[in-house]
Amino acid sequence: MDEQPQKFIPALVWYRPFEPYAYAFIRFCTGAILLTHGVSRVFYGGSVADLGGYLRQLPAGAIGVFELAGGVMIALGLLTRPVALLFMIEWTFIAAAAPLKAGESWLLLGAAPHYPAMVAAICFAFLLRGGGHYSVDRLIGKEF
Amino acid sequence: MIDEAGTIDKSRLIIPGLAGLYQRVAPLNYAFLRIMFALIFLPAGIDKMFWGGATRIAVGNVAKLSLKPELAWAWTVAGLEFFGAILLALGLFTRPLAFAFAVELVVIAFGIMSARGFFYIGGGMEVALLLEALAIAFVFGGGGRYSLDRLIGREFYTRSPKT
Repeated sequence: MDEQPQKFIPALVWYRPFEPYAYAFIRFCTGAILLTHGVSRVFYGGSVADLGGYLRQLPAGAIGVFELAGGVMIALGLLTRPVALLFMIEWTFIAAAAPLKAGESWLLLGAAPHYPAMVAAICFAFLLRGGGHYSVDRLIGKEF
Repeated sequence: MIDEAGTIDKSRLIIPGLAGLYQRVAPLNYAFLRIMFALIFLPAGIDKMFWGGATRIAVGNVAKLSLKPELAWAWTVAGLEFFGAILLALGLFTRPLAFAFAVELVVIAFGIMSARGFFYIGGGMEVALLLEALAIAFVFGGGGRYSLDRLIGREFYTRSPKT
């Protein structure tokens, strides 16, 4: 372990207790946001227009139930890697299916494929690390 | 440390053969997220900085939020999204920059995007909320192992030994 870095502002010590939770926080929030898509598709007849050609061949309800259960599992860190892999595939398809408006740059924040690609990238990051220290995976002592 | 995965415990893995791979890639996770976050903002920063975006938002979203003086706020946002994004990608001054992004994203989420609903498909606020979650995590997590902050050995706060 390398030595502790010096502090610019010693008064910022209140940060310290939160640092170990930063990764779990990302995982939890991402799971919660993925969950909302499942809630919308399952309970509110939410739009499946974003799913694109390949995923539209599956029943929208099945996708919704997966997002519902998968969102909870990502948030809790249960079977993190396999669920993150499935979400990564799903959102890559969504990104690929998102239509670009005429004259719209893919790179700018408002562009339609931008956000699904970001979700896929975050899921890829979960694939690298798994559930982490604060996760159900760690609690039960078994993980993929 | 935020991206210190420790030694991967083989007995925990359902496929123990993956332990070596996980050991190599797990510590990259945090830097990947940080750099991704920065690269998402950089095109917006370039647009505001060099393609007239700052003057456009000064009469657009900044005026809508009644932030005055408009042009000063617009260039502040442009500077944050351009220079801030570059520094964040490098992991220099990670915590204060992440905090600035977190403030910006709260304003974007609740001041601008919330009017368009929640879901991204209609331009809603979930986009800003997910980025907000990352920004808050970077405020607490700092630069991590692969950052200039770590290289120069000075951060805005010390790190804790726990993962």
